[in-house]
Amino acid sequence: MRKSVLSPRKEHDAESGNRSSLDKGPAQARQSVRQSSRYGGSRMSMRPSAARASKIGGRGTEVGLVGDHKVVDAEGKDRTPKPMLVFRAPGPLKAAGSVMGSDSFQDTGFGLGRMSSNASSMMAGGFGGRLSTQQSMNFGVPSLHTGSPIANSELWDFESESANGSPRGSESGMGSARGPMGVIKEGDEGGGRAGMARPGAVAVTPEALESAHSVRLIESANHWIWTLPGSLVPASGSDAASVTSANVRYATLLREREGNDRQVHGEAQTLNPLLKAKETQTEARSTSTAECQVGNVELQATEAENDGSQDMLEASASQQQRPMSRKQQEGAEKDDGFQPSPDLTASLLASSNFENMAVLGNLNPGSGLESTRSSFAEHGGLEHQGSSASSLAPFGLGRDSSGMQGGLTSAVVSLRTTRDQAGQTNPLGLLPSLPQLLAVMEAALLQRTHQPHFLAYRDMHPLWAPQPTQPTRPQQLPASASEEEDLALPDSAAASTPRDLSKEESMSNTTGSAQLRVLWEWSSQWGQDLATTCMAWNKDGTVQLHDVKSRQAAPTESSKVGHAKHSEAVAQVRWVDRGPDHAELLISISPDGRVTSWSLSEGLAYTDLMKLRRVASQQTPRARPAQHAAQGWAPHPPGTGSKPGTSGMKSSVGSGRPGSPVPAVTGPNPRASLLARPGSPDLPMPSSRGVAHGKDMTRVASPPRGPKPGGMPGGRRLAGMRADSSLSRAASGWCLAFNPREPRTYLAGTEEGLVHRCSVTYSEQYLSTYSGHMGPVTALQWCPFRPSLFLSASADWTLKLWEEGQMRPVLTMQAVNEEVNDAAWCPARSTVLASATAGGRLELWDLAQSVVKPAALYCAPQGVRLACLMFAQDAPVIMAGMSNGNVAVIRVHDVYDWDASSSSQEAALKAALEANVVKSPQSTAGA
Amino acid sequence: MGDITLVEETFKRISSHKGILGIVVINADGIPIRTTLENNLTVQYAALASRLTAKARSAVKQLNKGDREDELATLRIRSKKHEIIINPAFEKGHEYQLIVVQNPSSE
Repeated sequence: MRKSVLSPRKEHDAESGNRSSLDKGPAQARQSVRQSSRYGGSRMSMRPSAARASKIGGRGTEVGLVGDHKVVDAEGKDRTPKPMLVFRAPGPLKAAGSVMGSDSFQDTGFGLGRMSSNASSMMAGGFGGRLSTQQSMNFGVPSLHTGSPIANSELWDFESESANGSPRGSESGMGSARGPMGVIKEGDEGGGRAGMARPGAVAVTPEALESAHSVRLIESANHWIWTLPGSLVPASGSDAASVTSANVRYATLLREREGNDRQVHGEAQTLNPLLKAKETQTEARSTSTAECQVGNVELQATEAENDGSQDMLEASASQQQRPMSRKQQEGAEKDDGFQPSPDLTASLLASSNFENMAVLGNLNPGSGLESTRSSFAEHGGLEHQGSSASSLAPFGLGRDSSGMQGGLTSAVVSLRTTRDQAGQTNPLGLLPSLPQLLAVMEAALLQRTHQPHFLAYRDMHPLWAPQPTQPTRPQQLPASASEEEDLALPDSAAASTPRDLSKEESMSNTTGSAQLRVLWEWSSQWGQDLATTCMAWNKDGTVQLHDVKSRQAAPTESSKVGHAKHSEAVAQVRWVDRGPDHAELLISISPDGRVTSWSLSEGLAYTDLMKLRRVASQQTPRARPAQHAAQGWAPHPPGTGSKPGTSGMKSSVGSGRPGSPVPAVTGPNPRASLLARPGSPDLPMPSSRGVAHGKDMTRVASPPRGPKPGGMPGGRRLAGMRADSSLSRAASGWCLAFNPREPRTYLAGTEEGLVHRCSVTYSEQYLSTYSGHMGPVTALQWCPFRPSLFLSASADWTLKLWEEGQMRPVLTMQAVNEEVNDAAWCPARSTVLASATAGGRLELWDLAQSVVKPAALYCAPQGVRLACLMFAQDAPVIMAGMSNGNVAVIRVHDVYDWDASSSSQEAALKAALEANVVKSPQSTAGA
Repeated sequence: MGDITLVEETFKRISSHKGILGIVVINADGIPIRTTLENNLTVQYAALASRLTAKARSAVKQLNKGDREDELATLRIRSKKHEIIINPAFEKGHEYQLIVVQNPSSE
């Protein structure tokens, strides 16, 4: 490893240098003591062990290293350097020490230019193993030159023992004189002095001083024990740019930390929890818009296409005519009557085809006749070769009278000739009473399609199908009379309707569990692709489509008046029966905040009943001025007029086609134009009027609510109240319900979760406000049996029952975590309710059984939401409007109780309510 | 003309019902005037149905000797796989039959 021969002179120089440095001895020794004490005990304890190991190695491995090279001094003594340390005992610490002592010690000791921080860190590893770079630097830098902790008595011993004035000592002494390694210098000093102290140990002869000595230095391999990459990067380095940018980023991060959203002053930095304004969070009602624009170019292209296809039809018709007329002539020549050959039959079939084609071709009568005529002319027709179309009729007649008697061919020919004669081409048109026959046939076919439904409706089983359900029930054969009734469907009604079913048949059987079974789904052509959002029975049988935005697709009655329409999707439509003296009212409510009454007497005229306003104040929900703007009669839309519905479906189906992309749920709605309409000034109202009104107002105990998202914060909110800024205060109404016993008052549910009781006549204020729902109120209905009770459904997943006088809900029901889109009372059983959820569940609740679990359940197909539901008034059927535009007709089994008197129904309801309210008095109210 | 369009519409609607296999109109001589079936099948149905209808009609007539007004109105033949409904019309000079074949078990 170490192969060097040093000249004695140099060794001498080294000695003198060492000695001079030693002069500073005492002071440096003190300094070293201070340093070592500062660095603590661990390092102090390491050093003796390393030194001890070196001592042991020095004694133990003399033989191993005395090998190839011998160093002999002038007197012939063996001066071959012996290793200071020999690794004998196993262990990482001692191994490190041996490396330091034998190898890198020498390298550094020679003060080679390669003295690097690597070497110094190796030293640190050798001594402590755990020492930091800084500590090792303390060993390597010149400060240790003078007072390194290694320069203590143990190293002295170590050097004096092993080196013994050997060239190794002098050699390292020279290194220390040049290099920074004070460690070695101190040790060498000791070695040198030891050599001096022993007489004859180092004899420097003049010859030796004069003679030339060659020194060969061989570099040994680097031994990496531990590396610590520096945290500094040279500015010219390759990664300097990235480091600089990272530093800048970090600096900005530190600088902008103050005032950041996630910055929290505290002991620990944690994530903020999500802010929730309400207990339950629901999604807004999903709406979609579809429109199409057709330009002139497309129209013309389509027209041209149609023309082309018509030409093609004509051409094919004339082509087919030729063989036919030939066949005809053959038939005419054959006078032998019926020949049932397949060839003939085929030709007859072809003839029927031909007639079809001719019908189409004759859409353009002139050319059709022309082609017929020309074909006859081509075949050298009989008498008439003239070109006038009028000659055809005598031609046909003459042909008919030309002696074709009896048999099949004559029949065919006569058919043909009559067609020619009349210009009508369909043989079916000649068959009398065919429409009636077809109607009977269709009814027979429909019977097959709908018979299972009919039978299911009547709790009977189809004859042919397997009978899986309800084995306990006695099977009844369908009575032929009622079947006839059901069969008598109108021709034009392809789909049957519940009204056709609901002839009679009270279901008095109320035992057993309730069942829901879907009879069929029904969809109308104009409801296609639109979600069915609201339905209403209509007593005079008109079918009313409220197309939300334009109202132009209404089949019988529509409002095309631009300014009359709601500016948002119509949320709910209700017919109000005001007794025999008054006409029915059609009331609609919309998220644009208007409750509007539509009159059907002359076209569609409308009156705003109420403009819903936000209740801004907690204690006194002031009524807002509502405009009572009679806008005069709307122009009569052409072609309207209330026809009796041809189908028996007596319903009003509103299809949610929104005008604006999403109804503005919170915040100001862009209704400036609506409010700024001339003739309906939005009168500001003195604030005292609202407060002074009614004790109901002050009794309202609204839950403490923070400022609305769209509201104004703090004091400005109050100022805004006084200023009555109407633009931002329109509440979106989602549902309404008229009290059946008192059609002057109605309930309006809003998106805020409040239920307002309003009056038709007094349109300026709410009579009272019920609060308790956390989400938008989606449905309201008065109890048909107990006039003071009403039901509300909300998007906060709950159904609530309310008593008119109480501001708190009487009962709360919730089955699943789905928004309840609609709810209704069963008209024939007082304790039964139904609710439709956004997850497609139609739940039937029986208060008498449970308010926790629905009594029956129907699940719509996957992905279909139920938007609304409705009980048929006189049939055990629920209709549910689905998000795919269909209406499901669902038979309710074992629920209806038609026979019970209203008093007994009310009593049952009361009992059920009392039982449940007593059971859960606070949990419902507190929810 | 409006008459015919109505008839055509009804034809279309009937043939679009579920499980309808075909509609055939045959005249008094058993000649198909209109069909939606294949030719072979049409000929077969026409020949067989006309004979069957004649038989049934005579049976009805004979059973109701006292009532001459009575007439066969509908003939429904239900087999395991098919149902054939025959509606004949026996007006003078315009005797024809409307035959509909359907598969009753299709849903």
